[in-house]
Amino acid sequence: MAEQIEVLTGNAAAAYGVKLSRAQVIAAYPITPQTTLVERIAEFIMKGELKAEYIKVESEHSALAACIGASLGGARAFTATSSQGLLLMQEMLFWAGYGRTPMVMAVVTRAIAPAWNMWSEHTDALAQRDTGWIQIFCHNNQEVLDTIIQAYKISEDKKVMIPVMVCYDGFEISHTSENVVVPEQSDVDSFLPSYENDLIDPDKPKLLWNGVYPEDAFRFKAMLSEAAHRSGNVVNEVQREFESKFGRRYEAIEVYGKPESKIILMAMGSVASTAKATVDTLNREGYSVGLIRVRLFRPFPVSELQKAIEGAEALVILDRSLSFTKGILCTEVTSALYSAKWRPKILEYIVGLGGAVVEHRSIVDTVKHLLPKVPEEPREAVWLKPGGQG
Amino acid sequence: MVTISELVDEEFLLKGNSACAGCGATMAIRWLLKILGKEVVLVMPAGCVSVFQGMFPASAFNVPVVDSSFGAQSSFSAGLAAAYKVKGKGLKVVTLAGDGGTGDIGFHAVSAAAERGDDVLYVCYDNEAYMNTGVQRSSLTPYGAKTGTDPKGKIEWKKNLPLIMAAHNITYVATASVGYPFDLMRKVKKAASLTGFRYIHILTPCPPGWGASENLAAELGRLAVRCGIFPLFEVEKGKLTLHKIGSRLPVQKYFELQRRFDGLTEKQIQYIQKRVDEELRYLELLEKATSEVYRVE
Amino acid sequence: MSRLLELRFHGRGGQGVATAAELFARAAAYDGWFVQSTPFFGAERRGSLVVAYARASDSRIWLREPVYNPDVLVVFDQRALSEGGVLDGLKDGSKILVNSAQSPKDINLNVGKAVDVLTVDATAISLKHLGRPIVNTTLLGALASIVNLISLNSIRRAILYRFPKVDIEATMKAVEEAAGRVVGTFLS
Repeated sequence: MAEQIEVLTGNAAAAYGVKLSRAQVIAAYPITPQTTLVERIAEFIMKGELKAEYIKVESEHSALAACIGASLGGARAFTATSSQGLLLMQEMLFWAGYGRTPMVMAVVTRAIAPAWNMWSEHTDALAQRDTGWIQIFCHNNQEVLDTIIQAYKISEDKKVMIPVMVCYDGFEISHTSENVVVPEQSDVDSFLPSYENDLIDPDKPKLLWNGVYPEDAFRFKAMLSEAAHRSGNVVNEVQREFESKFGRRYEAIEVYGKPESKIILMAMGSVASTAKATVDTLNREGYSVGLIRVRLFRPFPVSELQKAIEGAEALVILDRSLSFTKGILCTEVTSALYSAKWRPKILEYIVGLGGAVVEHRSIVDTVKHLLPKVPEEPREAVWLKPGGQG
Repeated sequence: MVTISELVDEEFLLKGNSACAGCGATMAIRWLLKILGKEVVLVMPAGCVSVFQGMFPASAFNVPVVDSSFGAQSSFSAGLAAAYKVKGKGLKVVTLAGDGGTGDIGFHAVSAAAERGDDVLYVCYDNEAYMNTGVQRSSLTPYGAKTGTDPKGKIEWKKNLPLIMAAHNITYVATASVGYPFDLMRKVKKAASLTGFRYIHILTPCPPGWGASENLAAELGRLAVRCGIFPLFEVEKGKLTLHKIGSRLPVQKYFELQRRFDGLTEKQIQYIQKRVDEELRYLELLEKATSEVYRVE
Repeated sequence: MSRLLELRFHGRGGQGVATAAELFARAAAYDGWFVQSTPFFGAERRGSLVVAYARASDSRIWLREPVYNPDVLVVFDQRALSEGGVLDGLKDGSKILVNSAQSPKDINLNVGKAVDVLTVDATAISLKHLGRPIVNTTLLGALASIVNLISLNSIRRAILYRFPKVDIEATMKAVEEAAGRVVGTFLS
């Protein structure tokens, strides 16, 4: 297994993931900070390293619509976008989610306008949590490459047939270069079989997605929900299979540092990367702290989370999103823990909105303040400004 | 040239669909599918056809059909065509959309598909309004026609979608009318034999929406052509060919049969007649000019 | 206890500042280090100044923020030294490498910390070997002799990967000369 060791930006890593997955139809519209991803794919196609059709669509709505068409036509489809583009295609997000067309989309997370802002936060991706897509958040470039490959396998599994969103932070990940191991094409080929879709068949003509009466609609939604539930297990299966073949471990919920600590940090994406640095610093300075990284957001891994937090006194949730009054990760975690036997205190910290730097020093200081005595619930979210505690 | 003897007996648009009595669109679609055969995938957005094709579990079509959201149809087709291209095999991709889905909400995507030259046959069935949702105006509603959103009659002229599509320099553009079925079928056959982006714009009269008697779809389709209101032409490799059928009739003959044109003043009718004359003259000159500039091999 | 080296590069747009950070990281990766490099970060950009960051460590780097306290500061353009922000966050023991024909004591920096100031006339060296004042690759040579972390061979590989059509022999002559002509005291 002679892999290539490379230094790649997150976007380049994603492009390699798409190439190794042998995507066949790419339809994308440029938007910062996604552009270097689609440009690299176009370069692969131009050099003959990837045999794919690149449709130069005139909007993101059309980009996803074209991917839906391509998936139905039996081709492995890929698109990528951020904030405004993701919003513009939201109608099609539901279409692919409810229509169950397998495909993979990279969401390079970016703050939503107004005001215009090219830097990262997670609200754009999380605001699509209702669209029926599987959502995975990556915290470094290696994970981005690996997850694109896994995403196709998850999406195309006959028990699933649900599109997958691979999300990673704009700039902190997309434009930052890191060491990445690029797997061998032959190894990826044996991990990821080719994709077929036989819904469109002139010998057995079907009418896809026409009108439906309420009783049938209700029944179809139940089927959709069953598939969504099954997809969580398939995600775990694919992750395990990936680990045994490529040697890198991925879990729906990753536990890092000292999970037996009374204070556990929780985060996603690049915030989780910074949180790992925080845990390392604190543990080195003699403080005990752990981290729970949420990698799989949809379907939300409720039972894994309930197990992971057992024994913790407090969860310090570092939330890089905002839904009106509350962070979305925090809302999701609170809901997931409602039925848990063990209920830690939940302390909500809003971080990094609008691309504000999530400073590891300020999280270290925050935890040191909390350690002597954890505040009682309920409490308002703390807005952790860059440059110190809020 | 298509003759009745070469038409297949097989029906691809089935009886028992819920189209309105006398619907012009059903006529056009039934004929075009007989020419295209079963190795097609129809992509259609919200519109009359996506409704009358039936509710689950019934389908009025005996060919594969993919429904898309309103305006997304051209891009769905782009994806399908790309998939078939990369796989080296597939069905004929046919987009079937109304005037609203083509000229208004889906226009950006149709224009993009034409500019890219997607290998798709696009058929626009033009009943000159948003008929599925009641009767609301589209940019292809004719001047003076009454609709729910223009109760006094539309004050803007009908958008000339066929000429706009021709300006994209695509493989083939044609207008057709349900009043001339064999001409329509000849054009479908021609388009099906070519590759790249092909656009056929069919006038499909809507008796309930136009306020006409339900047996008049074909007659109205003929009158629109004979009065010069809906000229029949083809554009291939830049060269425009105009078809004149019989002698020209005054526009009044067309309006008389439709209640949507009730209340047109004498002045308005004269205005319409003048513009219809001008546009026909324009097409004649265009025919002459393009035959000088472009030569069809 | 893992070792982490943090570098910050300052210059003006068009001087190849971001590329220098990228090449440093790539060379360090070839030499077996875990690396990270970013072209710019956040909203703090004055005028036409450009900043880039690089990190090298013997274990995977989880930090995702600007380099606030550089171990090594690389300044492409001596005039940039007087711009706000360039000298922020320096600590005792930080090294400042300045592209300058002057010697370190003539630069007269007052940062209030026990820093090592080093200079190399990268502009002159580049003009001599490349015919153009392209200093980013040349400065890598100087950097190599200061940080004891990247080899000239890895620098060569990194430059070739990024610029396959470059005159690599001439470029490496500039790199090697810069490595031998750094002025100032430094700890190895």
